[in-house]
Amino acid sequence: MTTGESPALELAGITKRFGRVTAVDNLSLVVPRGTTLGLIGPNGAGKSTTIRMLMGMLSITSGKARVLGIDPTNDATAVKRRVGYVPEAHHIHRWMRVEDVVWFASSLYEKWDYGVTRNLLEQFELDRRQKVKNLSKGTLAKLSLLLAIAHEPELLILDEPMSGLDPIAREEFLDGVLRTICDQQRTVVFSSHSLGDVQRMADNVAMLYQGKLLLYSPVDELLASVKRVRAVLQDGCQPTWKPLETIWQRVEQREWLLTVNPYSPALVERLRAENSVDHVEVIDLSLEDVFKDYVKGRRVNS
Amino acid sequence: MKALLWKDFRVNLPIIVAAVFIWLAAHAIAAVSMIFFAAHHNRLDAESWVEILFRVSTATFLFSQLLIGALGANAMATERGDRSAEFLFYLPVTRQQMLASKLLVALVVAVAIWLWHLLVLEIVCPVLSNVLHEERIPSYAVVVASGVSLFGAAWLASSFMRSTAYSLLASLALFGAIGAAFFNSVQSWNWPPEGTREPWFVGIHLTLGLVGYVAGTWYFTRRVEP
Repeated sequence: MTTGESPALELAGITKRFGRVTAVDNLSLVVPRGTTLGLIGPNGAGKSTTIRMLMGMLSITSGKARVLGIDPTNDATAVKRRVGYVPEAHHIHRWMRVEDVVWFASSLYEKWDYGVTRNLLEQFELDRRQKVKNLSKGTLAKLSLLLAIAHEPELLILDEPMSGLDPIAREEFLDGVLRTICDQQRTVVFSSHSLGDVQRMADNVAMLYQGKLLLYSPVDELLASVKRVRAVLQDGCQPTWKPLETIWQRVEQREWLLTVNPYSPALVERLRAENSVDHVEVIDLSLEDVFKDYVKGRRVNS
Repeated sequence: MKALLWKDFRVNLPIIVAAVFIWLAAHAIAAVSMIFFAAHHNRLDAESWVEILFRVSTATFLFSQLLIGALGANAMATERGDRSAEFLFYLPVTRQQMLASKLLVALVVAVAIWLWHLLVLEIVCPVLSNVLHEERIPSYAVVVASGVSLFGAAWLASSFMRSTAYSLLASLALFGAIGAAFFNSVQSWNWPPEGTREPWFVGIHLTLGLVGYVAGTWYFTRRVEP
């Protein structure tokens, strides 16, 4: 990040209410330039609502948002000029041909890289003459990605772009995104239910639950910090002391599983000392496991 | 802007095709009827052909105001209905640019419809026939004001509805209600007085069209959601 350059995203307590329902609740987040943020959360967590507010496609009930230093509520067009957006559902005019869509979009942007357009049309095997109504969901997603990348955006926002894609289409789509990140060092924000992809691509992860930010952390740090502890209790014993760091736990017969954040060897020592356990082991977790345990823990608590 | 104009022309293409088709179909039906009439009565002169061209063009001129209303109804509702508005809303286009393009395309089509009928009724027919067609019900001003009124009301409905058909129906309902109120006023209170009815009708409908257009534009530009 250059000195004096604003972060890619700055959210200060943004809230979105639809009548009595609060979809996004006091969300604060700063995303530095040149990083990749994975936005994860169960259905209805507020990911898409947040993204649509950032794109100026939804009003913000309260709080402030800055996208590349621009307030999307005041100047959504300026945001759209500098941001590439791939939505979950692609509602491009069905009567247009692929070449029409590319021409239409290219004439609305100040900059357009025709070299990238040609390469991506070839790489994604997009038939210029084909009508949008005849494209599969995967091909539409690739066309949307082309439109989002070809105008050389500083920030790429992807809203669950891979949902419903078959594994091959998903792989090709991800390759396209990864190439953009690697070649141009752009900031990428993407929401996804495919947590393996998030773990693979994201520098940082933000987890939303019921509109609230549950955690925001670098992926590596998170995976180093969150561990599952498996303790085997002595016959007839129950846990007597639970660490405060516990996110989620389950006791089934003699097996006691706990997911903790942050993990430390001292925590395991104390667990041994305070409980009647025969055996304790520490297990590394994938991002998907971390996500599931956080959500399950929240559900139990609420 | 060129791209938006192209897109809006394509979005309105079914209405333009319908306008051409209706004009051609009406004249074709009239011509076939004339041929049958001539075969039965053993009479077919140039005057009759011009007369039929004049009468059918007058009818399509009246009917085409409905198509001008459809242009207004199609402006925003159709893209919201099929959700292609969402595609437009993540492109760097302002709402003002979108509306300017839609209005320009609608204006060009409406003016083309009006001019074409004026050409047929005021130049082609008088040149082909010596018979003068001075009695014209209703006048051009009334027809054009009706078109403007339908367009404005449909434009307003289109700014918050998701269906072109419902937007057009809403505008027709409003148009019908105002027409009925006007007729009732003439019948019950003899107001506006004889001789001033046409200016009143034109004035009311032009105002309705303008208010509908301004209100629809205001509502659409104030919205944040597509």
